[in-house]
Amino acid sequence: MSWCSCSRRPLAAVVAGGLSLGLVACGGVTDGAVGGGDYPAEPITLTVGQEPGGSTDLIARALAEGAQDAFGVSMPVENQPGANGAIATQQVANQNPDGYELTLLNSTLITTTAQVVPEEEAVSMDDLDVIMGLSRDDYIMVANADTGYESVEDVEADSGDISYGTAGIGTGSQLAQLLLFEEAGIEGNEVPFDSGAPALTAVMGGQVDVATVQVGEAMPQIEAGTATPLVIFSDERNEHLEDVPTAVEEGYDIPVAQYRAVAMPADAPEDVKDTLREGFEEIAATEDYQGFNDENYLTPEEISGEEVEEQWTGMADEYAQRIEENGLDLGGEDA
Amino acid sequence: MDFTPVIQGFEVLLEPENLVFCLIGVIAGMAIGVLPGLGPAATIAILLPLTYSMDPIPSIIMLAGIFYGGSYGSTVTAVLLKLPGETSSAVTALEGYPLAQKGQAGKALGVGAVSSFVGGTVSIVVLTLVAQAIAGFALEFGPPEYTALTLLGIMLVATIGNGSKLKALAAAAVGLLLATIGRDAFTGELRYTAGNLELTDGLQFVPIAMGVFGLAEILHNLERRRNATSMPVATDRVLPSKSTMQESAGSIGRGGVLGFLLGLLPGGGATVSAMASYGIEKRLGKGKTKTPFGRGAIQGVAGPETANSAAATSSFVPLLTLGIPANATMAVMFSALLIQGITPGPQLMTTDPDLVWGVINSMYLGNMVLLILAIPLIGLFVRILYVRTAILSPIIVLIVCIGAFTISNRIFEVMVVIVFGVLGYLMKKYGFDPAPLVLAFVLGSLLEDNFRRSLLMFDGDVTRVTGHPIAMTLLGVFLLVVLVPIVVKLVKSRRPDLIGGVPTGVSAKGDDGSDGADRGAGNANGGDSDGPDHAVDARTGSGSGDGPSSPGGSDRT
Amino acid sequence: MTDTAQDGNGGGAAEASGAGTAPDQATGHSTGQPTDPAADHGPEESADDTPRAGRTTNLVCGAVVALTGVGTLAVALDLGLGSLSQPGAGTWPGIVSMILIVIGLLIAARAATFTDAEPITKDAVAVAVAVVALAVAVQLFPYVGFELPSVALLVFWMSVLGQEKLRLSVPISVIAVAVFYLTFVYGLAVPIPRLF
Repeated sequence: MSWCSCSRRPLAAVVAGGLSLGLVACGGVTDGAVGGGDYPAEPITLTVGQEPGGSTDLIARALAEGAQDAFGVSMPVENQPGANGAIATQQVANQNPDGYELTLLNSTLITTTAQVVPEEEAVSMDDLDVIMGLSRDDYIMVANADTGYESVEDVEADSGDISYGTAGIGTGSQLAQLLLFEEAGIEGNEVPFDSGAPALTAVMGGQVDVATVQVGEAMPQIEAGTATPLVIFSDERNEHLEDVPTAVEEGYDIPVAQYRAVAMPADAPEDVKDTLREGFEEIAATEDYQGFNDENYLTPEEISGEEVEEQWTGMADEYAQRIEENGLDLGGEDA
Repeated sequence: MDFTPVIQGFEVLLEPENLVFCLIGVIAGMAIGVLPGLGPAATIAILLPLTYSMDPIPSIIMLAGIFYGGSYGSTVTAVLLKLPGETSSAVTALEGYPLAQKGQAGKALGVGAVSSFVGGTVSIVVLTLVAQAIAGFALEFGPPEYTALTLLGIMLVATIGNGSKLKALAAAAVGLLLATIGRDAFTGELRYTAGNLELTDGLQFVPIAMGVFGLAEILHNLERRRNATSMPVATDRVLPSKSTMQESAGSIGRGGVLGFLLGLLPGGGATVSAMASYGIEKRLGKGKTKTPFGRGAIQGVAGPETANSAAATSSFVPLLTLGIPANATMAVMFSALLIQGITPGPQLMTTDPDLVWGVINSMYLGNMVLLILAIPLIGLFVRILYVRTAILSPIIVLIVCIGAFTISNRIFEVMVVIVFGVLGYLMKKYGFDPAPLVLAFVLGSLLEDNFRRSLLMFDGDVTRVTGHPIAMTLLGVFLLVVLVPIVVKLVKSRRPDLIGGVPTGVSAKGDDGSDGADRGAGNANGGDSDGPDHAVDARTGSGSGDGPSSPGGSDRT
Repeated sequence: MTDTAQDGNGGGAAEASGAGTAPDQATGHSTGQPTDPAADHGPEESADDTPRAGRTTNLVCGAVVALTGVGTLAVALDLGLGSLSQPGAGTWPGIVSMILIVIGLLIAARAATFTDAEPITKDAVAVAVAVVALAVAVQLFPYVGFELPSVALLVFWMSVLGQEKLRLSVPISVIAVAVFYLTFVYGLAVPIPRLF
């Protein structure tokens, strides 16, 4: 960037709207110099590449809640939505690795979106250092209760006559759904929606027969009996839905899930990374954070940064291979 | 049904502590909402962290206050400065801004606050009676139904514009094309992005609206400023007079019903409601209103504001009964509920009726507090207009830029505002009304996505739409509204003595090319940037309302 | 009636310029429709005494609209029109582009009949200057923060474009930017690039 490194100085750590409205006392406003040795000396910005209110944003905010206790500084969450998080991720990757600019990564950005966008748009793990993994959000295929479908076999029986919703191009939802249908030999019309919620609504209204969405989204409908869970796309069963078989159990090796991790620009000093890792581990151990995971049906996946990078790169390769094997068309430029 | 939870909901709200939170919410929402670019959804998102540490009920009450305060804040900037912060206030600007220019900003804002209150009241009363029964209504609306609804909406948009209908259609078509920019939701291909990563997700409504409305207005005035001499007359009263309310009553009633029904539809219903209300008022009011539409017809403020507020309240139905957030604001409210450990869903109404009604009633309370607060504050807001243009304009431009930045924290959005400001300026110069562009942009992706989804669902067989009664009904209405004026016109061209005898608007055509050409000819008469029909109305004050679209008008060319 | 005329004049709201001098009738009145005298005569008379852009301008307008349609249609064809059962990325833009072309041609064909366009006057230079100044200031934000370019923009717009006295515009600009700073940076924690 420019000579003015100060333009990137972390924000005054004011809870939004607080000071001007006089509702809350302003806490932790610091204006100290960057890199004074005692990291962290000022608020740490956590950038989220999704809209406020989405599940990624909620996770970021749940983490940020514990920051004051864990780091002694606050952690303002900034939303910079766009291109499934690619814009925010690239912006953070270009910052100084001084530990004051972090981002919350979605695994599908690396593993799935990369399959449908041209190379110059794809985000590479090389530009980032992953601090630690956070949690896993499973995908589940649900059917309209009126269809009477109870399992993948029931859907198979109606092959050719099925319409199915996905959460959109390049999402884990689409990938999981397409892989399953391809391997099970089910034919149907794909109807992409903007995100999981409208796809689920279409299932409830009978506009489509089945859809694959995230567990947290589907849970209220499953509990109410308006949507029937058919199969879950993860290595192991979800603890909140012990009765729902995994795709692997059904004979389809399709471990697709949304993982999330905290990352920072590459080549950060080791001591900064250690401080961050310890801090996040501390937050992850709090009751509040664990309760949050539980309420949102997230499975903790608190693994080290190296493991995350290995896991995600492995997934990206596997998905690419599976897509090619099955001759799938996820869309995208001349894909 | 059992009304106890409804009443209990109100009892909880009226505790002094909760009232205070509501008050804080409304003030905070209004304070931020008047910053151009920060609409209600953005305002709630910004203030959301404040509620993290609060109990569920007060936090929801405060958010409801913020929501209404923020919405009203957008209305204020839309009326005073033609800077809408959300879709519905873009519609309010169409009549509200001309009113402000005539020194009647107070009247517009006063009627806006009252209409909004009435809309909320109507909505909540109906909601109380039928919430459970209508919950399923939203699910009946699938892609074919939305396609039909948005088609109807586009038709209304084409008639919303002032001036040449042909040019309005051109603006609307450009708006539809602008909506296709970005990654195609179906194939993943990038469309019209010219390789710019910033355009991957397409353009956003607020920067476009602020550009072609607000900034364009400032630029246009910059050119004309040298000749301007007078300020708007400030003979304004804030509390709407009895006659104003009488004029607006019908619009408010229709807007309330329309808003309530459309608000129930997730994914766009509430967006369409203000536009639909405006379109209907404009048609019904043609030639009958004291001030013609486009010049500051109070009905054009009252109807959409009511519809918007009614829709805001009824859009809680799909959220709380089905767990579907109906629009951006509801999505933010949804996450606010999640943060409080409440998952909105089908069971919430039975498991936790107190909470459901607490939330719905708090919207109502927010609305009420807003009305009480707004009336004294309007006088204050209007004072903005006393500032000299040379000083006010650049300051507003700067707020717009910073406001645009806050939308997604990037300079890109600011550049979008500037580009569309120039486009809007040029459109204004050349007689293209920018309103159809902005509104068609809003409906564009809804229409395309649902049209394509329908085709996929039907496997290309469009006749299968016959299996969708609601869609068929809507399409029927669409055809009726398009065809009737054409037929009327044909009949009249044979029987010139009928001119002016048929009050139906002739503005509904659109896709018929030759028809459009005729309109062009008709418009030749109007030497004004406004619609010729209005110009005629203004001059003669007559109730005929068909103006130059009639053969007589064309003959004079 | 009065309201009609006033609106035609471009509206009072932002026109409070006691500072606006240069009584340039020809340009300033370009849009001022004296609608009142025309009240009983039908619209066509009212267009007579004010300069209006004529046939050529509207011809160009129509051509620009049609050409925009041609351009977007070309892209749409490139994206693929698809079929009814498998609509492609270009289906919808293609349909709309064709409509746009038709509308553009109709506007061009009827160019002589439009009287709703205004000519570009020499005061439009002020508009161009304002837009350029604004764009430059905004582009500077990421490099030097928003404060200094904002103050400079405000002073420039108020004093050069608006002929306000410097002793008025400078303090107002500084105070305005300070208020924005407090509101957006401290109050709302907007991460706008900033120097201080």
